[in-house]
Amino acid sequence: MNNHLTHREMLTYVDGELSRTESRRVNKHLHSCWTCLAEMERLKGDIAILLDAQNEAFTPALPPPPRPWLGFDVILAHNRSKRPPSWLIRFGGEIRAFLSPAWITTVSAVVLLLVFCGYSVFRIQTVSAKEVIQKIEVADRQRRTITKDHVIRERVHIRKTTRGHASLNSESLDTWKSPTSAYWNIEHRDSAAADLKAKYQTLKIPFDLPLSAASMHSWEMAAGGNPTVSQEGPDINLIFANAHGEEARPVDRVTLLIEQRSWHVKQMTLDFSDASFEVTEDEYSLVPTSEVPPDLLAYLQPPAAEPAMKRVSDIEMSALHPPTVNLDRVALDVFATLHSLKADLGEPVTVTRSQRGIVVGLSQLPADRQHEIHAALYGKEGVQLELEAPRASLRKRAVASEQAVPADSSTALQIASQEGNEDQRLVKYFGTSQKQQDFTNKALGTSTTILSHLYALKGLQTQFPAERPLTPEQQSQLHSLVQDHLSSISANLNDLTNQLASLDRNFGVSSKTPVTGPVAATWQSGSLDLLEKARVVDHLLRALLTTSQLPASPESALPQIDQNLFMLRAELDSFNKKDVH
Amino acid sequence: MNNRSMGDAKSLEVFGLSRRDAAFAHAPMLHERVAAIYETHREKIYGFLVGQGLDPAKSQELAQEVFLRFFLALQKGGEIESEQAWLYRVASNLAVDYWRREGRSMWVELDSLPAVADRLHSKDLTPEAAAVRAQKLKRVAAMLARLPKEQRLGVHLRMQGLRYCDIAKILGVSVPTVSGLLSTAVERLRRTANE
Repeated sequence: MNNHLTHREMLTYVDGELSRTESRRVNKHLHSCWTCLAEMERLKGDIAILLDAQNEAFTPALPPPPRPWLGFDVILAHNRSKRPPSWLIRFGGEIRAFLSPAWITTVSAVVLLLVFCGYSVFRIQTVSAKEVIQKIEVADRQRRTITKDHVIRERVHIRKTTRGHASLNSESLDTWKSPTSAYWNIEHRDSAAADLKAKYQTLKIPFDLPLSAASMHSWEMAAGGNPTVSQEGPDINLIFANAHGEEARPVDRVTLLIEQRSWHVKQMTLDFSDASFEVTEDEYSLVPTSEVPPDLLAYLQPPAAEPAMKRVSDIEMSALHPPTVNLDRVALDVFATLHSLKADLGEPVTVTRSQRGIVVGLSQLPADRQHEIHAALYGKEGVQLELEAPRASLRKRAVASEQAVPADSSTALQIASQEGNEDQRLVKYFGTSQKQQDFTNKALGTSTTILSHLYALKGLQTQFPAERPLTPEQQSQLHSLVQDHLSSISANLNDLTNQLASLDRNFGVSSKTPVTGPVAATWQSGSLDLLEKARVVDHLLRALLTTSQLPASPESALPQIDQNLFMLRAELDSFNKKDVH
Repeated sequence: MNNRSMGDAKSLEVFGLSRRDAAFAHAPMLHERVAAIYETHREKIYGFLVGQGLDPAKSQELAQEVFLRFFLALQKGGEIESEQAWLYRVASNLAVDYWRREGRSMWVELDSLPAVADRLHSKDLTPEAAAVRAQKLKRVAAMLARLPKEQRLGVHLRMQGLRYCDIAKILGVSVPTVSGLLSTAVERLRRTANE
């Protein structure tokens, strides 16, 4: 065979860096040229030698660090103190050499004056929407700081304009807020206020004072898109609108008019597809509880009720007050809610315990899904939702690393590689590549479903280890969740076993006596083992059915898959017999 | 307050913690997390930098700089897909910047060969075969130390699992150039191994 492969082609092929066309050409050549095939094997062997040389000879022969390592705290502190001065300071230092102190003082004063004037004139052009939102939050927090002897009353004027009609409906509405509750005093069912309230209920927007920062955030989530800010006379316009081309949102546009002096929201306009609501503040006051009607006060400050989700200051957050909620109960409630939304099955939702409650991380989810889960968990006692992603990457990496198959897996994973042959044999077996693709999608889909339930079980196991004492009611709720996952795993195991049976028959894989392993005492201790086996099955399936870097032959992969499926089944059955308690 | 409006009040809900509150609760976690990663990976990053021909003191200083940058990147909310790849990428960029400032070839100074030989371990080999293998590994390691710096960096980054396009970005060259560099380097190392 002429035109042998070059060394460069071989290395690029081994590294998986060739284009698809080139890769096919090289693959085809290797099928017909023993010389290149043998050389390719030698190259792989030599790469192993290079790695060994790097690990066993090169790296150990490098000189050790000359100094002891600094602690990370020290590096951070050192960085703060040694951070180079800004260019302004450096520039100041340069000119100080040839300017007198009097000159410096005069020039500095003039520069400061110019900067101040420029800031005053142009500051709205330089303030971002994010900064505006932050300022609104700060101002709102100050306004809402009240004692138990007062409640807030915000009287607003609501104007409703129905699209396609000239009619205008308007009325005043009194809204009330205590540290724990909010109340809208709607007088008439057929009114602009009642219609607005219906919008809140339909979209599961939590009730609060209509022009509060909390309301703003709720509508911001409903509108989506990036906020924009603009100047309108002495005030600022902040707009949340669905970007062009994005999917439809429940509200088309939310416009806030903000008083720049106080950063208070004066007016909010909600544009829906069928109507528009303009909410303007008429009056805002703190009312002594002695002046509040008794029935309203009883609602706003129920004597026996604990605050469901307390808005605490940063000082209070430093765990001066230990949590009063039962975290197990809250965690079970959260898992049950997530499970009802199927949000525990492979979606990047994290559930962790903090000093203040159960933290549910939703930052990796799309806005729509965030909104859905937010609505479902909203108002649950002791639940904190994390919607932003300052450290999303870490969590993402953590999820990714969890799902990777470990290189030193304790479960035997032996893949016999016979490059190129299996693909043709599988195509021949399936008849067409489309049928093969369909089979692959179905089998891998089933395997992924099994894995997602096992990851959910792992989440439960992390929160509820076997030694954690639970009340009978909590045990029952946990049992129900675990049983649900185990049933789904069991059903999908059956599916996968049936799907693979015909492959076993075709490739003559005999059903040897399966080896059974030790069975875990509890579902908590067994769930990790189950997960490990399911990951091995998934890995083998991908090696067998997809264009894997480590392709596997049916004769090698199928018996291992069958063995692991059998062990999974045996362990599941043992849990069912023990009734997973 | 009339009865009907109190009936409407049943649907009222209570507000919870703000997003800022929730994010604040995790602030100490970042510091602890990066400190743990620093403890785990600092020796490897140091070895990587020394392996690129930088002197040990400079390598240790730059290794610490890598983790500081990692912390600052996360603090700013940067997206980091793979933590390890990120660390090696930044370490490589620092090494390349250093080369450019120094503008000279950089061979790696390895410790004496007996020290290398002591660390070698060969399983299931006869003493003779183990000795042959040890000699082979030492020859390859010595050649790796003498490779041109771009080739050596390319090989090391490939060993860390970086793709050609990532290596190309670090070296400021095209992907085919990386392919050529790696091919040349690997062929030299293979010839040395099979001498």
